[in-house]
Amino acid sequence: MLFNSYEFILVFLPAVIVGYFALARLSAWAANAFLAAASVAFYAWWKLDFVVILAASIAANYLFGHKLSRDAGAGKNDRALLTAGIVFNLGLLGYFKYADFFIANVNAVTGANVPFLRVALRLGISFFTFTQIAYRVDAWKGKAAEYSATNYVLFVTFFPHLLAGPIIHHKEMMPQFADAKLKRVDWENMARGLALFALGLAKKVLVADPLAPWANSGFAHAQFLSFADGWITMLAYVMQLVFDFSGYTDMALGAALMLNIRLPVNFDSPYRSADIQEFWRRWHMTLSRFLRDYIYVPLGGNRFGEARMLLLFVVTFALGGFWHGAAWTYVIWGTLHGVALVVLHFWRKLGRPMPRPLAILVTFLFVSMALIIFRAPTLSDAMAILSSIVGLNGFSLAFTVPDWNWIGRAGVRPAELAQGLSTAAILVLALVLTFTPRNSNQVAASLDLSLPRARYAYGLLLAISLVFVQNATEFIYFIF
Amino acid sequence: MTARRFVIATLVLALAVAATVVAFNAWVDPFQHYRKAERFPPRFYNAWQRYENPGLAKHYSYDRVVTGSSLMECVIPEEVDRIMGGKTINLSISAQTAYDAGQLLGAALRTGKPRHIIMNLDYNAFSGAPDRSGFTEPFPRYMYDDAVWNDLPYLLGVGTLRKSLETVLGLKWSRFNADPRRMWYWMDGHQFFAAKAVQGLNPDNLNALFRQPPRTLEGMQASFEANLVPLIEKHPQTRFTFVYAPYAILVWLDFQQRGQLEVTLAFREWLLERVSRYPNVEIFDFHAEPAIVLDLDHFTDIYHYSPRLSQSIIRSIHGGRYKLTRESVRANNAWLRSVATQTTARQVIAEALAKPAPESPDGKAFVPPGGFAAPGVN
Repeated sequence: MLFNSYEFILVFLPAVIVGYFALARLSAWAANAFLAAASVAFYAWWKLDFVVILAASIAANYLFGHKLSRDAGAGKNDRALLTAGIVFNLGLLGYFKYADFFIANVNAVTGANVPFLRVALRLGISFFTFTQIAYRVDAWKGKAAEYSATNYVLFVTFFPHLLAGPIIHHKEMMPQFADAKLKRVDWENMARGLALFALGLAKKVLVADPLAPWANSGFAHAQFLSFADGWITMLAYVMQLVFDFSGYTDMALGAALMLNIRLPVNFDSPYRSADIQEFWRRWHMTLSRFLRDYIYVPLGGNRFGEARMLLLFVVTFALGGFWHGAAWTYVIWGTLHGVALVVLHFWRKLGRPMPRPLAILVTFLFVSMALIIFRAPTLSDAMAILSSIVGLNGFSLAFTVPDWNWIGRAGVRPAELAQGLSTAAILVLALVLTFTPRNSNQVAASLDLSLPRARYAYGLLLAISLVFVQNATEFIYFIF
Repeated sequence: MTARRFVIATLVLALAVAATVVAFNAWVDPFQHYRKAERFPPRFYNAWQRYENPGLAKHYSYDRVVTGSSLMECVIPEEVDRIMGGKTINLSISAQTAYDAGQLLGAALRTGKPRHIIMNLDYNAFSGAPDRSGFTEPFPRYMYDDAVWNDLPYLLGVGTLRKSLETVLGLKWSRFNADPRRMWYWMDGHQFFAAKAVQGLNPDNLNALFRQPPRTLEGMQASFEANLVPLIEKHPQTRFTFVYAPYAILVWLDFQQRGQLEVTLAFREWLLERVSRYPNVEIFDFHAEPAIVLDLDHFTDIYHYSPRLSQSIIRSIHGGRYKLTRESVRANNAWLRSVATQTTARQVIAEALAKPAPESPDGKAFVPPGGFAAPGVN
């Protein structure tokens, strides 16, 4: 079920909210069990057999996590069991997400002809696997202990975060599920959650989705882009991506808040970052946290000298890139970010900081150009688009891609013109919104609920977004 | 209290606006989903055929369906009726895939109206996964069933709202046909002659202009099995006439360039064998008629042929000409293979460009060698 679908917005979410608070009057356990069951149903909506893998993953992690935390409580640190658990999780992820990638590479290098497995990617597997690896490590360290199977299932499957994050920590969720005070309707949370959900939905259906045809068309014509086409393609995609993913996250945080659950913030106006380190503190923040706490620090962090630290920057981000998908383009994208961190490290040593506006521009351009590699189906397409952007194919301002070649053309039909102009306006609006001082989290949190115009504004925003839901499209991060 | 009021007021306003949009769209019903257009003159939006055709299938009267890709959009039902009798409706879809066809024919057959289906088989329609639709946007399944409860995307959706407003305000922003006799016809203003047919082609990469995806035999077979076989088996009283509507020779050269020739020929043989067990299925093959395939004056591009040829095809089918048999499929495949491997695109394009401009740009008349009727068919 998609957050941006009628069945979710008009049926599932209201039913879950009503059911959860109604059952909470009877029993906190019943409310949590209901929420866990609803979350599994939410996941099963796509394909019933997807639940099998999810259930197997949860069962194994719960049982072994339980033992790890008991051992930790008894002063024992069973490293072998922890390792086995991590191998199990990575094995699951490897089989369902990376098997054919590895086979293709083995075939290419050795000339073998190993047949592909063609295993269907299980939705959300990257997210629920990472969530549970973090739980296992925390259990081993004695920082997490979970004795209730219901609560553990809820922790992993809680529908707002299940498919595309945020990647959560056991310790930030379980106290909330256990807190009896949070089992009563809190209208303040309900209002701000609703506002955030409406903003997220609007970001998805009013900004990201309308930009998708331009981004898709630009990438489809990668080999034929002019200088102007290249820039439109890049800007359309980077705006589509941030509004899509942060829109999803806003909806997730908003839906959870209506249930009195606070999920960690995942986006904080990332394109306003003045360097690549700041970018990763503002973009997919819970993934950055995971990479830092469970890869970078355990591998040594900055404890073994500068050279090792810099190498770990690159390794950590290369792995972060690979987490996104089974393709070299993701690895290259991640590696580029690691290298950028190394460059930043040396730049700082020079002691000559850039003026902040210039630093923001440089960071934005780097991030955007790297995202071309992230999105392109092949490295050759990515290179073709980047070539057009930097002018290696000339500096032609001709618009050749069908989606926007109406610009400056005579005899354009009104519908085509209106469609094109609205997309162009949305692209400009997206750029403006991206660089405005307050993001959706801050807007929802500081909203003056007593203002009548706030009710009208959010009521209309929700209504307009509902009208634009018609062709609900998946969120980009669902494939990761 | 303030927060509670905010929640209630926001939700009430949002739902009130949404309910108004639903009522307005249901009243205008721009895609004729609930009724034949009566309040306003009908509009047939070519870009929205996947949304509009199911309603047409439900509410119009007919006993024959013509469907297929853009190659079939210009078949005029009245002409078919004049040749074959009965009452025809054209439910073609641009870039139709086997999945699109299966869904649409399923909806039409559920009405119990069609006794005869004429459908062109585009090889590209069988590429990709069996549930691949021809457009990138999600397929509107909710338009293809009889349930009303799942129609919310239609009733509340912005695409419908735009069309409703255009209809009520009499705006002509979108491209549409208003003539129910030529719902999807698009050939007005198009010209059919050799030099036009090869315009913009890259002889070394014929597919650059059309970007057709690759196919595998297994994939094509799976798509046919999933989308069309169930309908054939479920409706033994309905006659299914599949047509390999003609392409210009350059399409076959494109197949050869992309390594798609053999898979295509293999599919043709497989399909004939596969449907031979069904007495209600027949296949007509115009792909190997040299007088069409090699004469680019019939075409406006390498795929699309003239309305005059379209009419000749219907007459030929009615007369039993070009019906595919085990013998003819082998002979036709052999001819296609020899032409595709012994001719070069550069040569065909050069000849087409050197041809004199035609007296009439409407394409040439075509009469099959030996006339329209097969021997023994009146």
